[in-house]
Amino acid sequence: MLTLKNISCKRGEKTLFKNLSFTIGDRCALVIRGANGSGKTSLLNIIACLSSPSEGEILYANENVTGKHWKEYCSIIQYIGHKNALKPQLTVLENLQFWAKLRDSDERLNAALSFFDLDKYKHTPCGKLSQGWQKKAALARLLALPSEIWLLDEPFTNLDEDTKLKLNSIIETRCENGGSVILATHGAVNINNSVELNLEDFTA
Amino acid sequence: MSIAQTLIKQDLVLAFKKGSGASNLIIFFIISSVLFAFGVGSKPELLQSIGTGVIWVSALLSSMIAIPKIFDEDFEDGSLALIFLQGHLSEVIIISKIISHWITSCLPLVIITPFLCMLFNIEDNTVNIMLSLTIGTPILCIIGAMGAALTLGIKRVGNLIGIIILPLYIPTLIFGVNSNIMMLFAILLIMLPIGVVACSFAVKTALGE
Repeated sequence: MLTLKNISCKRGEKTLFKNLSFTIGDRCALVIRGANGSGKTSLLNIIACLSSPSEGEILYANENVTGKHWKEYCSIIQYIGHKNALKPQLTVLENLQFWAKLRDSDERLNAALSFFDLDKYKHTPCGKLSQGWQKKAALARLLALPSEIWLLDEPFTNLDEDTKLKLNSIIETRCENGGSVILATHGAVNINNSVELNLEDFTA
Repeated sequence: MSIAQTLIKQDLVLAFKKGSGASNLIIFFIISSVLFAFGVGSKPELLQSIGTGVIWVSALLSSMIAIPKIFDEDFEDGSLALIFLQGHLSEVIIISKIISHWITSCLPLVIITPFLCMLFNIEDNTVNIMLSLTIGTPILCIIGAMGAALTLGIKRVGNLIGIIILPLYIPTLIFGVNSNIMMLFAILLIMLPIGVVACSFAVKTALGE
């Protein structure tokens, strides 16, 4: 269970949002919405501990994630941001293997590649793939690496309709299997049992 | 395989696949040294007296070329943030990045130093120069990493990194030219913890922006 307590975020003089509190339990998907610049990515960065909130705290299993539990917290989150974190010189498989080695887990690589139809491109350097295929290669990390909470920033960008449906289905499966998903998006999403959070309700 | 080994191996594989990075540095190292030799004339005594200094200054300038790449490419493609999110000590990540940068950017310069020693007719001093560069260039990498980390994410950095780090290179240059190995070693021991902690803080700050 992940809890955000009275989170505020400032960028320079501007307050993006304040007094934001919510709890997301297991088996739950949270869709973060908001206009451009409302702080969706900033909120995901705060949840991922990439940046600190101006005020408030984040608790996982009732423990503050920034203290001694940070390492444990990092091992259960999986963050797919705007940037794909792929090396253009390396093949899709080499890119995935690198991230798997950092998590000591390479058992599910082939299954993840197959799910996103990346088998035929797994020995192709990522720099030679289209934006859509690169996004699929980045999303394959979700299935390849063990994690409990997925943080997804605009995950549907550059994807074709079939892959959008596949991503929807793995998010739903993830939640059914006890995981949690927090995603920020502009587009329409149709995820069963998802909860919406509009950041504009928390602007100063 | 440990996190450090994984990161270093990844950087070495990438450097090998990119190909041109190390060769460009070596060419710059040789050309800048040769230009000095052409500039001061062909008197053997003069070349001998300035040889060590020229090799050190050329190595210093060559090592500067690749400094922005220590963190910049990983930052731009989003890898750096994810590496920091794997729950490993940030200091280990920084040290790994500095080691792989030294192997790809400075070790080749040390290896071709004997050739430049022949050019300046200082073959007798080759071992001392190579030893001083072997200990001195890691200091340059640490200072360079600090500059790269402090300017991470800033658009149009221009010469800012050079302005930050060049004054900090001076003690290393002085002790390096004099082949004062003990002092270089002392600077390395002092700069390593300071540089790694400073880099870690600066990179985390840049990632949070």
